[in-house]
Amino acid sequence: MTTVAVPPGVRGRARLLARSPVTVSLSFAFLGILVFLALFGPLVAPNGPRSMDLSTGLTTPNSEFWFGTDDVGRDVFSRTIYGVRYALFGPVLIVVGAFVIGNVLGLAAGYLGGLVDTSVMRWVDLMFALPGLLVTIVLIGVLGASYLLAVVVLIVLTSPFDARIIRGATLEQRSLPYVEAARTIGLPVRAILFRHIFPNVLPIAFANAFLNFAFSLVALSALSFLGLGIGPGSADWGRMLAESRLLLFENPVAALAPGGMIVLTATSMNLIGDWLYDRLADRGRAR
Amino acid sequence: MSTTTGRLRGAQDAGRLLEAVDLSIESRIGGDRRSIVTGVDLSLGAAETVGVVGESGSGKSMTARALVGLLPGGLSARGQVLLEGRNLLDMSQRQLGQIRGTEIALVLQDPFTMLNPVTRCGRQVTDVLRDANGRRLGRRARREEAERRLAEVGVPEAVDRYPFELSGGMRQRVAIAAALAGDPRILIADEPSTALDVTTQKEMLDLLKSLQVSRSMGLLLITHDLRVAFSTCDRLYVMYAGSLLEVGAASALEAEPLHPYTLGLLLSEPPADRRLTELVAIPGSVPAPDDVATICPLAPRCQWSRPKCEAAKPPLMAVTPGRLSACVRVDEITDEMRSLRHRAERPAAVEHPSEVPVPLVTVMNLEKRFPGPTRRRDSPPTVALGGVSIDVGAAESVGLVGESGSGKTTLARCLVGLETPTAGTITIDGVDASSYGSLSTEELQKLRRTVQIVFQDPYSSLNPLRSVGSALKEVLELHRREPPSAEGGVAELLERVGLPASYARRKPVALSGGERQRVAIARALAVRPRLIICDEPVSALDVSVQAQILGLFRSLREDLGVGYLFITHDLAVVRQIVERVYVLYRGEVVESGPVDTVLDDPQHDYTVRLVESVPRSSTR
Repeated sequence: MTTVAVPPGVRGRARLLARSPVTVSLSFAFLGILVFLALFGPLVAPNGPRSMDLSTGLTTPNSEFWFGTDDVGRDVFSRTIYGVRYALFGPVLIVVGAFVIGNVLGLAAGYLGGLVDTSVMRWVDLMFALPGLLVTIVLIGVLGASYLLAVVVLIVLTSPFDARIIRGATLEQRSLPYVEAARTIGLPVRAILFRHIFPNVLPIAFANAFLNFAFSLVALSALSFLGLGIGPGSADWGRMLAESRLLLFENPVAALAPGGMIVLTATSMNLIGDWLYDRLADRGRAR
Repeated sequence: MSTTTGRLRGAQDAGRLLEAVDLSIESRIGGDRRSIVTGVDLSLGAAETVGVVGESGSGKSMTARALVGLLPGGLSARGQVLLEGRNLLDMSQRQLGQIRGTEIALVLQDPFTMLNPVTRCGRQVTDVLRDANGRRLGRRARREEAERRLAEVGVPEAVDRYPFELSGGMRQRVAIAAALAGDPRILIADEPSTALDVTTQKEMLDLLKSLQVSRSMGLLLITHDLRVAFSTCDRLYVMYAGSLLEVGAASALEAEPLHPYTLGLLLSEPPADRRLTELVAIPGSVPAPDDVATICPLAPRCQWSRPKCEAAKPPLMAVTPGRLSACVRVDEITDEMRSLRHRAERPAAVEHPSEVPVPLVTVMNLEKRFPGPTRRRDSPPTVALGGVSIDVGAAESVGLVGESGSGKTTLARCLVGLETPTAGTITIDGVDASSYGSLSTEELQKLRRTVQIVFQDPYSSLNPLRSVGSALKEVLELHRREPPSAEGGVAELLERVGLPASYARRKPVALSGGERQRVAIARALAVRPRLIICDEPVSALDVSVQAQILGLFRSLREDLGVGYLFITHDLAVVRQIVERVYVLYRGEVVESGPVDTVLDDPQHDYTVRLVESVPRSSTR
């Protein structure tokens, strides 16, 4: 009868640590820096992304070039900063696209059921059955390497994940009395879906968007690494990683800097996603 | 508090088995400390049945768990729990493990999760049995023992069955047999009958009582239901907001409560054998123990409250030998309490309209079958409704009584279009409502404005993210009639259901269960329906709140002339609200008629059983 508190210690220590406010604030700070650099990167970067200086050649980190230079004398530090734009732009497009498609399909499938549900879910099954990255590689190989094409393909490949999760959450909400009351009162389906159910499944959609972001960043970087995304010479982290991997002994920072940024960005997005989910899921439960 | 214990000890010292002295329970989550139980003294003698009665939040379940050292994580107990002089609170889990089962056993509320689903019932009972040398019993001895013990609780056939093959009542019996396997001298039963159907509830209580007598155990029964406590227990402890308010012999307590809370609780439970003129309810809802730590816990809700009630927390004091009350004004208000009870228990006649009302809803031979559990063609469908015919007149209040599985909720859902019937017809105000999907927009709107529904669970019937005001406004705007401004409409609606207009800004989380149910009723009223279908609207609420909501239903009917189709398993509730009643059993109407005729002189076997299952102290 009395509410029983969740005993502490159920979640592992690692999980608690990962959720502690310090790591989350660090993640937010990092995200803030990334956004700032994406907007004002050119003002901060000491050199242009493509300005080569063959006379400088390959150098290790020094007072002029903090991260050193690559084999054609480009400043690794500046290129890493310019890379932020690519790192945010593509994944944001993918996340937003998948969010819209996935949520609309998921809500419709979960609430309407029947034929709509069956068609959406069979499509989801089909997409799950495809080896995603391989399909992307083949498609881009056939249609020609283009960043935008990679983004579109990844939107199509990511949205089934959203659709399936949102469908499940919608099914759960649909049978709750507050939704049935809305139906009995005669609210139109659109109002029930977007005014009542959607806000209640939003925490899940949101957390999933951040996870998608991390996934898309890694996927796009991998495509660039393979030379399938963005054109050669661009200041994209995946591309930089590919081009600098042979310099690992001469200037390790040239490869480690973009690689590290990919890892850090993906990790902070995951942490923020988890944290947001916890916060938003409590909305309405705690005042 | 120890002084009161001293007094108690003088009164009845014989054969004291288990005793709690100044027991306090506190929860500590993060840096947040909350008390759950404060300074409770209680005792249980050998061969005695003692009841702890209280609403949710009173701390009764946690008290029971503290007695066996099974508090959930984050909760800690202080004080003493003495089992023949040994303090259980000082013992290690290992020592407690030796005591649990063999000296004290615990039976919990939910029979569906208490048994291991992958083990046969016979084994669950005999697993802990050892012979005189502490060795496991042989196979044959185990089987004989299992059969004997399951026969003792009345389910010998359960030996070779898995828990999921049994009904709730049978599982609860197996759970009791398992709890008694170590032949404990004390059995603590926490709401053992609450999750069961009414007819099974009575059997369960009878079983516990007879086991207690035949084994001469001490039985501690935790319950929210005073009627259950009166019919089963020798002595009662009344708990409220973590404190004891009254202690005494069950018969004396029933004859004359000496604390306003006990009286309120007693009056809040409507009788099943007559209709009352006035339903007396305790206003408000149960506070958190910390909010009333330094005053009489009931003071904010008590009609006899005076400044001295809030001066300090009143201790339990002996009023007469064996009777303790924590009311400081008990001597002054005894007469008033007596006269209130006298007034409140006056019966009223059920008013029957002189002429037969025009039917508003007519249900003819309604059938609803759900597909079987598998998609295989030979799996038989579940028949929820097997040809039910009822009608509800305009402005009439009709009851639909039955246990879980009787199809009463399915019928309600068919009426508002949440389910589509397999066969049969529903006519609502001249519109054929058998299939909501094929109706025109105008017809649908007409149905929506005629019939609305209030659900059982107040916690999920409101969207947690939307404020009360916006939820009501949405309905008002959808069904706008002779438009007053929407704000005025919301305030008016809230006032109708007894809530202040300022509640419009609140989110459901800031409301208690009773308040949420009021909002759900307001939402149904916003459409200005002629009939409200109430699907167990009070069964999830505390007793004291239940009476408030029943009172609200009555006054709404008087003021607005709205009719009800009142669905419930509780005969006492139905007696207070409706004129006519249908008894539903396994998807069929087995009896119908005026409520007083059906309940006073039941004809069908099932109705007889239903009426007999109402706990009464006189049947003891």
